[in-house]
Amino acid sequence: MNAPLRRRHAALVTTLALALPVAFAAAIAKREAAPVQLELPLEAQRASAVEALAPGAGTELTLETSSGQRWRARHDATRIAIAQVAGAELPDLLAYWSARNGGDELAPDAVLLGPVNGGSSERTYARPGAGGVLVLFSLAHGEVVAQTNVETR
Amino acid sequence: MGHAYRAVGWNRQKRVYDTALALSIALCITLFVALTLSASPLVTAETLLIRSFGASAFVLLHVILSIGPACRLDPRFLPLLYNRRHLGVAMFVLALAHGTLAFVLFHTLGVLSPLESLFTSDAGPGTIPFQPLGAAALAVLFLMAATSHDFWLRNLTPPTWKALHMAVYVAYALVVLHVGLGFLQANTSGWLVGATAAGSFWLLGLHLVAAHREHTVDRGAGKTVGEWIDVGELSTIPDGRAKTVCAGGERVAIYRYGDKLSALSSVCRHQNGPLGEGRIVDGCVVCPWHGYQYRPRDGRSPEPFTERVPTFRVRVENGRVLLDPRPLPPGTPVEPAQLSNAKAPADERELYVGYLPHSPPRQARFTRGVVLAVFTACLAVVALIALEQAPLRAGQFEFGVVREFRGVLESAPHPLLRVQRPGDGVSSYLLVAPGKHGADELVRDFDGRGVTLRGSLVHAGERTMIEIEPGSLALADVTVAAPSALELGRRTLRGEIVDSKCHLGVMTPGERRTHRACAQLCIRGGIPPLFWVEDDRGGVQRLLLVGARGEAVNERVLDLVGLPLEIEGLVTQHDDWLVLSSDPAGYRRIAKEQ
Repeated sequence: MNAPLRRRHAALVTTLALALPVAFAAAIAKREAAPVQLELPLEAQRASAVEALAPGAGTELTLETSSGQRWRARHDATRIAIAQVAGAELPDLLAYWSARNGGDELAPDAVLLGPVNGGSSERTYARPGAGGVLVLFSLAHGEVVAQTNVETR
Repeated sequence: MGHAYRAVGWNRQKRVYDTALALSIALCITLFVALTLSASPLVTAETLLIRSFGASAFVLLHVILSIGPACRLDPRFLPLLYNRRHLGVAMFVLALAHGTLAFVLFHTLGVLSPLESLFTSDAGPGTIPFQPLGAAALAVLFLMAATSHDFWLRNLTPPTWKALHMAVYVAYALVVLHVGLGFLQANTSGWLVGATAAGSFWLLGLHLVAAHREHTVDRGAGKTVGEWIDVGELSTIPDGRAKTVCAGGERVAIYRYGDKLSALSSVCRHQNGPLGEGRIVDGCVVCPWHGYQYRPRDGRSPEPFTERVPTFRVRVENGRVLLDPRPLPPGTPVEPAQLSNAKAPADERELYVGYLPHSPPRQARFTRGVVLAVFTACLAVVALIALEQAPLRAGQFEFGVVREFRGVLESAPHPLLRVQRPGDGVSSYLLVAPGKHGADELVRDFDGRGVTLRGSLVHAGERTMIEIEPGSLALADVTVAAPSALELGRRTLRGEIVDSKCHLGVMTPGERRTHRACAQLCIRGGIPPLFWVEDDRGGVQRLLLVGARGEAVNERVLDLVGLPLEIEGLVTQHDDWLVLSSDPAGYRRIAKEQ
């Protein structure tokens, strides 16, 4: 560089060295934390409907699909709790209880337990009968995605 | 310039340089993608590309801007300077890919023109749009990349070209603010803030130290003796090397070669490189930057080249070198000062000349070590950025998978398809049009009617949406259970307004600051707004947001999209959807300290 350019470079770098840290610090200082809600609006209603199974309680079963989705189902005499533990979520996933295995179709006598929670959070449902088949059904895909026998205790 | 010089030739050095550069960039991008996928397997490809290109360009910009001052402080870094333009153009290509993808993804297919969206979105009380800063930086980088050729250097002249390319510092400042006001607003890791700050301190510190050293050299030459300046002892000038002094406002290189001493301007005609830091090769002064050559006696490049630099008269008296500071016209022959019996000090320094087949051995070792260290540091920083990103949510868009659905359509406040569940109950799927548009126009004639339609699913958690294939709606004989509505009472909720389409899976992330402009464009286009609420245990609920009388509020919430809010309103469960009814006039920004 020639002398005028060196002077311009020095002035530019000095200005930046003074202004940029201030501007950057101001940008970071104005960050806003993600809002956190202490209680989600529907959780209280759900909790009052069926009391959640205590952690580790009940008999544990696994439901899986060939494409890698896996759910954990825990049950005791009156409740079933389901949580997804692996794989991608499925759209409008509903839990059903049926007296018999309907194969690829949802059995006509299937009783809706409720929607399956998204993510890994567990939802507890009232168990309709002593022995039967727990079926996971994606209404948006119109298909049974997994099912397992739940034995009488 | 010398006979051996090839201006744009793809010599071995350049090929090695460019191969190392291409491999390094490919490895950085691969590492970023692999680490991001390992933490968030469902992240969309567009997000992966935008972030990996952006991160790589930002890191590379630091490397590029470090080379200049590093060379001023230690000439052994000069081999990195030789092909720096290719680094700059590669960085621009990465930045362009980052910017183009973001521009297309966030600003096209909406109700505003993409440019209008770019420069008007992301506004609102207390917010500074970060995307225009990136666009401005990209424009500057484009100007520089487009002129990174000797054609422009010759036509603009080196001083103008250099002055133009100093705009890179402005671009750098814009990029840092783009990152600080964008990515770092949503990705709050202290490591990311620290790494960005450390990069700026390193770079600006390096430039300040180099500028200080330059200033020291420019302060003056020495004692005046009549019209001459005493510039110091002859014995301090090694054979084949120069002493650089400032005289007449510019630097002069006083070269010693054998028993002769000549002085010529230290400013190379090519890029104003420091001729005084070169050495004599084949009887010519060789510029250390790009190897241009000049004869010391007359300041001319060997024929057939025509470059010329000013020359100066020089003489030696009593072992001291005297310089006439008045420059002679470029290319003026000056009789060299003759030296007798004067012993020149040894000089062990090696000089790298870019167009020669091989670097001197010590220089080559040093260069390899530096390249390896820089590459390792770049990989480490890219890995840090990838690992410290905020977790990316796992919504999904079944792009290109079209399914048929049957149900009863409701059009107000936002279009929904109510689908009968086997056994009991109803599922409701939000309906949207392709692009960043709501489906109000598509469903207008079907309110309350049974329909079939085709479309692609978008879903996250318990919320499902269909992007309707236009023209696929048809009346059908469908029956579903009557709508159910359950008032859950008035609640005060904390969360963020998001556009339902991106948030449920079309984009990852479809929330927070980096997505705000796109969310505004989507909601402006009629996509239903959701109020996204998270608790501290990772629980999530997404409530359909409507006005106090159940009306759509899209136009009234645009300024508040993507910001932390507190909304007090009535929560109602309509079938399987939670609806939050509240007048937007009462929405409250959550202050930072709350």
